[in-house]
Amino acid sequence: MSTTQTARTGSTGLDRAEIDGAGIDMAGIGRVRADGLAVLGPAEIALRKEIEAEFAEWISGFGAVEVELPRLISIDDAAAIDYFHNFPQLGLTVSGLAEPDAVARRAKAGDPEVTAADLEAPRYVLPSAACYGLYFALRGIQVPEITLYTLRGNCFRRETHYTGLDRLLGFTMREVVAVGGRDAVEEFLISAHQVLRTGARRLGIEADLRPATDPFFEPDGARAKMQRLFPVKHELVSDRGVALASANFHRNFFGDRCGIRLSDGESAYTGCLGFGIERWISEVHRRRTP
Amino acid sequence: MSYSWEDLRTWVIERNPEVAQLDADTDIIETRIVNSLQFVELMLYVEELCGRELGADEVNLEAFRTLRSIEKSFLVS
Repeated sequence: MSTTQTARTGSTGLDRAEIDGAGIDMAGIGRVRADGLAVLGPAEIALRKEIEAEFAEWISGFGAVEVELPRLISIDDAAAIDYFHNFPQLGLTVSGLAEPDAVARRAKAGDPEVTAADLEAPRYVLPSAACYGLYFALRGIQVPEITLYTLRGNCFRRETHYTGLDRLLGFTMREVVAVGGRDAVEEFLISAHQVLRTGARRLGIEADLRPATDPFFEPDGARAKMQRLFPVKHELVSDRGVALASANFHRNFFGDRCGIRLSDGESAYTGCLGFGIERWISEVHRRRTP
Repeated sequence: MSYSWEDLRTWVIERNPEVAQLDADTDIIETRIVNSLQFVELMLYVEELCGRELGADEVNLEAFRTLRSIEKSFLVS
């Protein structure tokens, strides 16, 4: 064990320093695997606690109620919100084994492989954003002019490549979600923009809040320009080009698809403010490391 | 075949049946008759009608402010 590493990390014994793709030094137990799954060690956890405490303070002004949503999304629910229309490439489905006994027999006989042929049809998909479950939970309900919810969810995205803590397979999102009338939701989103600007500054981060365009559109094309003229998504982007947070206006899409109604019978509007927690760990660490 | 602002009006009303008042000079941006998500779709429809892809430099708020301005900018040869 080298003296330098022990002194720096105070770690329990692993003496290799893992530097993830974005430059964060995950010395000690913390590391990010090539398949986009991360182990967070004591140093990363300490940073995460500090960051989440900051988020809690920024969010406290909203008077949001804390909820926890189901860990999986059913295939039917995903279909109801056009998930497979829009994001089929991101989805990771969940299936049990069609014949567990047969798989066990094979494994005991020395063939431990599990293949697609062994799986039953998928019943669930892993959430790629944290707020979907809220709309299913509010299905068929009449809601008041404005309600704010806050939640924290484990999210998963199948990507073509992963990059340290900035682009993970499994990551964590803190969200504040507004459900209600159009003006009330838009007002929340304007406040959310301000929270993002001032919050980033408080953590010593230089980041820009800007309208985002669908990555499927060519950035210089007419479609992307049209989206910039009528933005429904704003992102807080670091000087390394990483989107740390986003504020999204869903209009009444989820209200309509999930039968969430206002008192006048119209579909409710929704919008959300989301933070990718591991990206903040990466960015704050970078800012503090000379 | 040439198209007019009335074809655009039909497209908008089909997707926004609750709209009561929409004529050639209604400000569709200010009134939010066409919502932010629909503007990209409207642009795709305009491309269908005029038979070509629009350039980024042609896409601006004033060209899409009213159905008449869309007609003038893209549908009249």
